[in-house]
Amino acid sequence: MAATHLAAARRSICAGFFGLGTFMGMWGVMIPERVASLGLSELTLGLFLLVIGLSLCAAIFCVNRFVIFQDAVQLIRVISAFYVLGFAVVLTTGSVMMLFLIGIVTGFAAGFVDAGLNSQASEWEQHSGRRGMSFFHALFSLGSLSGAALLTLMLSLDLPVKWVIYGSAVLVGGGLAMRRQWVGTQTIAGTAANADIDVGADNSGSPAADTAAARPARQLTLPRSACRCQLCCFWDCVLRWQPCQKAALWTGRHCI
Amino acid sequence: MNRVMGLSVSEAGQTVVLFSIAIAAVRFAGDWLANRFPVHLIMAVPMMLAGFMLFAAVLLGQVAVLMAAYVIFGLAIGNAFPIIISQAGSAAGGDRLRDISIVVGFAYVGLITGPALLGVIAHFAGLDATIITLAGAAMILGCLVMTMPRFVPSPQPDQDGVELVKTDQG
Repeated sequence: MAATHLAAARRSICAGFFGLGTFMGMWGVMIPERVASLGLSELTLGLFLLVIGLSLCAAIFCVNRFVIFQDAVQLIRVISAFYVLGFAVVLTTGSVMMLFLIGIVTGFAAGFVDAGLNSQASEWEQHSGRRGMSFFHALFSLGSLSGAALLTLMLSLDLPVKWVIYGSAVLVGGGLAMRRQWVGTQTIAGTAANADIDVGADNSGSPAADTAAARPARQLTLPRSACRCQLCCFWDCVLRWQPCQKAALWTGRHCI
Repeated sequence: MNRVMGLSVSEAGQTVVLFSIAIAAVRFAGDWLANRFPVHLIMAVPMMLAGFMLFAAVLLGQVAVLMAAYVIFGLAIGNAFPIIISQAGSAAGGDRLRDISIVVGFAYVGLITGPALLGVIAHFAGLDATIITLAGAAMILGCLVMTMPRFVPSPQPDQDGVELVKTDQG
């Protein structure tokens, strides 16, 4: 994969982490205002946070279970819009019912985008052979501090925060949707718009390697010890605490 | 901290802000550290130090020690999640998204259950017991992380050698 493409992909990932962090920081600052303006009790607020958390977990389950959610680039580009707009509504709505309904959507979106961005960051590390995960997460923290500082400033000056929140949502959501350079989006013909994924393929950049990468994954018959099904992965990951080897040759059946 | 240890609201708030800044700062230095030291030591040593500091804060009852312990705790855990994700990516098979999503899922389960669990402990046993529980958890995790090299291979670029190609995106 070309160095310029990796550099562009790095900028996309950085923007994603920073954008996500910004809205998380805004949420932290707005909690007292939300509690006051919507009249939320501690129990209701706790329930809302639980709903968001459970939605996040459900999104992670969907990523792991359904093929349609296993395209990191599309997850980031499409669902980040739901993430930022969901947060914007949660931060500004005057209805408790709307808060909970949009909270579920936002929780799902956060799970999808978080998994997608972390996956992209890991792909970037593997393709570039450099460490970068801490830096990406540092940008999340920086975004969180920036978002919190921005809204704190607006609130302290008694300025309306609504348009800042929606403006940030359009900026971040639109920006991520428009970004075309991600790890794995460099196609054989060199048109990034097609957004092909060649996860873990040869990164030598040679045409032969790219052609080889375009072949569909081979289905192999595996011995019991190399089975990649969910059950065996769970056994390896959780019970035996060994690195998971599943997924690449997923067939949906146990021990083919 | 405001109710039990007698800190003013602003002092308690400052502690939380310092905690967040410590996390951000150590993450910016995380890749530099990870390139120079074994990652399990980067996670384990500050974790055990933070546990020790929290124990000391409870035993001494000093607000300054508690605030310092919070900062060290931020420094200790700041790089934990990125390093875990990075290691998971290195150890993953062909489909990193799914493998990493499992790790992220565990993190969210902890995010949901952790505060509730600590809240229950605080409700029944008080703040000191909660902080001691956190300190104990940090010490145990630090010790467990010391055994990490036995389970996770060191990262190498594109080591998986497994192809997975999808070409239907527009």
